[in-house]
Amino acid sequence: MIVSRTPIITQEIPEFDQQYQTYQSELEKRLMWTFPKFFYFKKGTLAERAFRKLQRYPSAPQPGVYFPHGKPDIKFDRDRRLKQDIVLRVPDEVKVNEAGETITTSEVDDETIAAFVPNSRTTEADRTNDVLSLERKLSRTLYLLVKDQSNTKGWAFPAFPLASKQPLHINAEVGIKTLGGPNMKLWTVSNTPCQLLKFSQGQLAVESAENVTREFMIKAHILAGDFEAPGVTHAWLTKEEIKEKCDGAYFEQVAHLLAEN
Amino acid sequence: MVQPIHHTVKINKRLLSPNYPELKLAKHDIRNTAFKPAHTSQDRLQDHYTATLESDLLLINYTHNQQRQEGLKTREWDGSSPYHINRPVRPPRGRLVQTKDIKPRTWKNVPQLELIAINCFVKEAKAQSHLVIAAHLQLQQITNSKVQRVFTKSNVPQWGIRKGMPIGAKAEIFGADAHTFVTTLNELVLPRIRNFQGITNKSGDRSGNITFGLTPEDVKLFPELENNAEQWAKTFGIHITFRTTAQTDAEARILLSGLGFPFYGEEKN
Repeated sequence: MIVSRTPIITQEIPEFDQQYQTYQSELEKRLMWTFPKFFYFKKGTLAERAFRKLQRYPSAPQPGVYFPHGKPDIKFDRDRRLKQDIVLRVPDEVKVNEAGETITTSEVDDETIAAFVPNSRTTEADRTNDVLSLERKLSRTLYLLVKDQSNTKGWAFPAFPLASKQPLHINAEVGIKTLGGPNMKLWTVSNTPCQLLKFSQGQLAVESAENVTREFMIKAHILAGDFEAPGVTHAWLTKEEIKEKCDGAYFEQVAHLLAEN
Repeated sequence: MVQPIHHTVKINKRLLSPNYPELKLAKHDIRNTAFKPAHTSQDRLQDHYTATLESDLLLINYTHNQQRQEGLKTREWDGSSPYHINRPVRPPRGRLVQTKDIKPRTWKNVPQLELIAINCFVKEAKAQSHLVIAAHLQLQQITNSKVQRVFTKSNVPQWGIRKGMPIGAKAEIFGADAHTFVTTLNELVLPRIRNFQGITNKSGDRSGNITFGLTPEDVKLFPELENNAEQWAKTFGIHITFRTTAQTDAEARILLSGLGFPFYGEEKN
């Protein structure tokens, strides 16, 4: 059975991609329509006057004046060579009090915004590299691997002998519950197996081998709980870590089933 | 409705002239006035699809020994009578329109969200045509796209409509815009609708497109309207259609539930 923990947070993107996206979003801001203030602020209202007062208007081109950063191209109080900056409130002033602490004076005293600090993308399990924890590598897909007690297969996905004449996915669900405890909440993706492996005497079998045991792989996602099996050596690993731990021939057979992210 | 108040860039009139087609710039060229930046931010719905959903959908929809299933087609006359010549073909058995063939599911045709079509029909606009403008603006605000007006197609005196009356607005959103819309619906709008059970399992046009509706009160929950609520005394209900590449409605429902939409009720087929 392939039990996976799907990503919890957004993917890590390379620095180049990040810079490209920033560039594109700046371009988008540059090409945006000029803010339709007539729609949001009715003419002659107090709100409109306050809004007008807050804006910083670009300087208009003057005959005989040299503009080192290019001649302004002004339409409706906006320099359309650049993105438009809308000021909706007075920028915060930073002050230092008697005790030497910096305080921010804000017109909008919104405690919820001030208190909002996003959680760290790296967790305690990341720092200690705790492979037993489900809270490691939150942006990646983790897969459950167990170490074979008889040490013939080494590290592999958990497998269970077919107990009776029951469907493969039911057998896999019962097997993983008996191995890893009843606290795991699993969702089986499909009753169709996603891979067939053939073993002969604990090794991956060649085509002409005899007395082969077949291993059908059923896919499942862990939704809650944890794999708790005191007697079993297990680990939650990403694709790269599986490649390091597993036998090369075994990894080759299952690599296409594992997510890159 | 809100229109741009001026051109966002200086127009080079030489390039607009039809005299020199070789001077025309491609639409993805940054010098083209129609250039629109595409990859402006990380698309987490697309990331979820590629990392988890795509392989799961392939496995869920896959069955062994798949064959191409012929859809219902129109039936030709057998030609046993001379009157069969020029006689119109018979409709499919038990239906009026043909259905598509169902091809074997492979990694090449995993269902995907193609686009979201949002349709807003304003019944009151028969008497008060200015309401169409408000409906148009509402769609513009919640979809971040160019909205098209809808006109009546025919004269129906009983309903009080004549051909060509403005009667509503519609928008089609793709890619990142569509993904943002899905996330807004799932995280901000649908969870706050009272008595919302989900999308009914009976919805669907049999070829993988799922539709559901939002009432005028539900539409008020969109953050674009909610943060400017005093401007929106009147809102309009909308129909949202998810156009997917799924071959059947069941597959489309699996895709949408993977994207986070709940479904309820009995399945029709």
